[in-house]
Amino acid sequence: MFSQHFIILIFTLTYLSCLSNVNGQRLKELMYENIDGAFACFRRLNGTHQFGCTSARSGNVGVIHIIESQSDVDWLVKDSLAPPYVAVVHPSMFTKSLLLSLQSSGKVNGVAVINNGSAERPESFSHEDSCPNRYSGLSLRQGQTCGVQEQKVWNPSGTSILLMDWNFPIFYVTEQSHINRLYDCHQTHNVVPHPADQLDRSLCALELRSHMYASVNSKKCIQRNSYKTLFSQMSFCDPLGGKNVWQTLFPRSTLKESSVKSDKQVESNGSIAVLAARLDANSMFDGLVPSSVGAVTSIVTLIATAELLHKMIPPSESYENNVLFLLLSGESYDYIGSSRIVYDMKHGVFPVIPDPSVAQPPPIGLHHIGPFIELSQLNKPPLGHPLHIHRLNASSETDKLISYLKRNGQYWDIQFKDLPPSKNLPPASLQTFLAEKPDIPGIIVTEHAMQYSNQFYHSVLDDINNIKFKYSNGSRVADDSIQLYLRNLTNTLAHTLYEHVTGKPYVGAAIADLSLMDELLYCYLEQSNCTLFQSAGNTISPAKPLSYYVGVKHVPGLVPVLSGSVLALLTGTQTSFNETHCHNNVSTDQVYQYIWANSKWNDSASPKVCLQTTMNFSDAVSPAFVIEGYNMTSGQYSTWTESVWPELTAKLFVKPSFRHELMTLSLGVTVLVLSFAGVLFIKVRKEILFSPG
Amino acid sequence: MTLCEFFGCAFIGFGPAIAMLTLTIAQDPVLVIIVFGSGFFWLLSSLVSSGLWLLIGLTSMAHTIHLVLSVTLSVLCQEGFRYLLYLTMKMFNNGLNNMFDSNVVNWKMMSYAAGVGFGVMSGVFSVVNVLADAVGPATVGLKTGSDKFLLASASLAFCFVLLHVFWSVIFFHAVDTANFAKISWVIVTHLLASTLTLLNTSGHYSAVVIPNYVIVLLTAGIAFRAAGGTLNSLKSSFSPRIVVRCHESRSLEQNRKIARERLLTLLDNHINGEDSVEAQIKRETKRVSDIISEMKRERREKIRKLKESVANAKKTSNDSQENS
Repeated sequence: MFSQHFIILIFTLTYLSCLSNVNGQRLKELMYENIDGAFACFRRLNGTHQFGCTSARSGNVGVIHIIESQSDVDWLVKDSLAPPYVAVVHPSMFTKSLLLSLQSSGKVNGVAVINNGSAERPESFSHEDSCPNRYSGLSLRQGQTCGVQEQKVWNPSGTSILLMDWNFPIFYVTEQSHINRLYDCHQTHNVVPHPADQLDRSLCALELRSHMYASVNSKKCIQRNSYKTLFSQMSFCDPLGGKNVWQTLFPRSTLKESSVKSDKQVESNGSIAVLAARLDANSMFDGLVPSSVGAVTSIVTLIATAELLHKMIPPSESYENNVLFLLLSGESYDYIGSSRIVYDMKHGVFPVIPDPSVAQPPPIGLHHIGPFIELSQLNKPPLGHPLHIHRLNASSETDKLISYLKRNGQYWDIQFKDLPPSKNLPPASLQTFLAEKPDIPGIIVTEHAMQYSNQFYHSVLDDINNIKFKYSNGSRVADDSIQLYLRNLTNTLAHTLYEHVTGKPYVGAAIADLSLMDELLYCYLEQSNCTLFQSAGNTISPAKPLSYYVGVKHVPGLVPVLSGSVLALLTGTQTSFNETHCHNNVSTDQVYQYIWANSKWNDSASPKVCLQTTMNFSDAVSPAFVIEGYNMTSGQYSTWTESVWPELTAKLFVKPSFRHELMTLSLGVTVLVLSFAGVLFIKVRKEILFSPG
Repeated sequence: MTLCEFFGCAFIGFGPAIAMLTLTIAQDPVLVIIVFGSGFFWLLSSLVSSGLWLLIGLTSMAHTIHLVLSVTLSVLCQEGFRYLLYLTMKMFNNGLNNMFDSNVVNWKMMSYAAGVGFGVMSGVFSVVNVLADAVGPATVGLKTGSDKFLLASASLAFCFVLLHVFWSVIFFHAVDTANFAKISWVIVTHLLASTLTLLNTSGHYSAVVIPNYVIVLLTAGIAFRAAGGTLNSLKSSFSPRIVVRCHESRSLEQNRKIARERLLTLLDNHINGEDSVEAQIKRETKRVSDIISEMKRERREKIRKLKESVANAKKTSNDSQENS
């Protein structure tokens, strides 16, 4: 009787104690924490080599070790006893020498760079080559100039980490909560007084999964792409590429119209002035390619100049000369966009393959190109310092262009300094044009002189802080702001191009809109679903800073589409078409594109409108992937491809110590053996055991 | 990496089950059928209890109460299905007996096999998703709990496999003899053990595992009694055994006779040791043969000496001839 009461007592107590401690979670959720939103380094290939990072197929696991100083590095490389490790490093420690020592130690299975944005920025952080695009552009024609024979390199802080093949994954973690988790986990599990103590305990570890399918080089990988199995065709890599955006100031006349007198343009040699800028940049990590100085300042200035020129020249006037605005994609990867345009121009198929059955403007050739201004690496120079003008050859056209610029710049407080003509041009799209036709009167406008002043070229830190942009949002823009400087530069450029087109200085009152410049910078740097982009008909932009990586051929990046639609919105003419008719009919009209915009700029309440524009897109895919049987090792065209990967994930967890695992296994084996022995014993003795009496 | 942990835990949880299945069940087709059938009954019970769980879920109540209530329901369902299994097997057994006119399979073995089926199935269900998560590179301990969690879960599965075997044996015996005390022991300990496992996620591993092992030991004792074992039989099972087999003749009677004689000899040997008849005979035979072999040896020695003296004599005579 007593025992029964006792049991009931225990039973009730257990029930009560259970009530407070119950939860029903899947075990996996307790074991792992996903580091979502981490950016990973991936693999890229060119015609001869592979670059970047990869993990093993199932991911690389390593015990976390936080590196804050050189002593941490020494501990990891020399003293540590529980490899493999994952090194967690701050941007200031993330250097080439660190990575090399980690790689050669053989103890490191991965690297995670942590940066919450608030920490002090390192002095320089550029993983690009010290001579970007070293082997392409003019180098093809005249040999390499950058860094050769006492020539300075353009990017002195460049470490070339981007252009090396690392055998471990590298991730970039920005979320503060994740960084805290890493620190907490490291503190609770991994901090020990003596390295040997790590052997006895469960350790905090990271699994980095960024397996890359492609290897060796683009040639090999594209060959593999074509292998088909019975059920599927696997893709290993994709050519880099995207879309170029181009627009002419005046609509171009078709061949039929050119026979009769028309108000449209017929090109003659050297009649088209080009204003070019690049659309893309680069960094080590997928999805995180800000590029303030690298691309945005130039793009924004170009768009504003196009808008201003349209305001300056009334639609009723027409002139002999035209202006071609070019926004080029893939320039960071051996000038993909410009080399394709030059290739197309050379073969008479730019912008489209001629088709006599259709009314279309004649192809533009290289001989049509007159003054060529490229905007590159623009920034507000320190007070009293000029912008620099680079050119290959001195010629009367370039002299004229420079004198226009200098004269117009005086009104707007922009100083220009023309550097002596040199074969050593900074990396720019103009190089590709000059390599094909060296007498193009081209100049490159940059903020830097013979070396980049941007210490964060092609890195994740070339962000909004690098040009000290502050969004004014309608209020008064500060006098020393980047907006005002670029607005002044826009005026200078527009007036210069106006003089080229009309042959006389501008006397009107039109100037660039400062609020437009403010909004453009805001859209490109901070918030991609801003009102300007929305007005232009892009409603599905993700609400985050844009990434300026070129992307792959099949999936063009967002930047060209947004830039094209903004150009159309700002320069297009309103038509009365409704939505169903607002598209271009290629068989009848190859002069204009039609864009269905959400509202007009500066008037978000206005109804949706169909805009007629000369803006258009062209393929920015390297000729290497267009030419049948192109020799991928020749180096003539860009052969960059990007590896395909299944996933990029990082997981935090506790890794059991070897001793713990061994103990569990031996315990299991013991239980198994004892069970067999026990059951065998009972089986053999069952007559005796279970016979009553 | 932690495949080690996976196999370790799997062996801990299912070591007894594997041993029982391979050594006692696999040889007998009827028992194999019963194991599968009882496994199926366990699955049916979990189906019914999950249906009931769904019904409870519709009402709004605290999460903890909800979970405890579900556990209770699940236990009651399992015991209900154990009773259904008992009825089914009773019919099955009667059918078998009618067909073969005798006890083909021991009823106790059948109840044991039913317990193995229940145990394996519930063990698999309780630990399989834990084991599946253990295959990865991690162990428990990042957020809550410690690396002992997997071991605790595995040892709980171990407990439940054994408990189900014991419970079935007790339960079947108790229903046969209408012993309600034993039936209620089964149900109460089942409830207690199951609710104890709810503590496992909170990290009080020893508070879960130790009471469970106590329950296992107590239940094992009762099951042993129910299966017909006694303290005496347990003791005697550890004493040495004498086994006699005989297939000398085709006549059973003759074989028995021979076997009895052999048994007598073996018993004599075991009990009297040095003084047993066989040992005495052996000793005497050995003594006699020793004496004979000693005599033979002495004779050989004599002959050898004789030969040597003859040879020496010849040698000396030859020497003397040469000298002369």
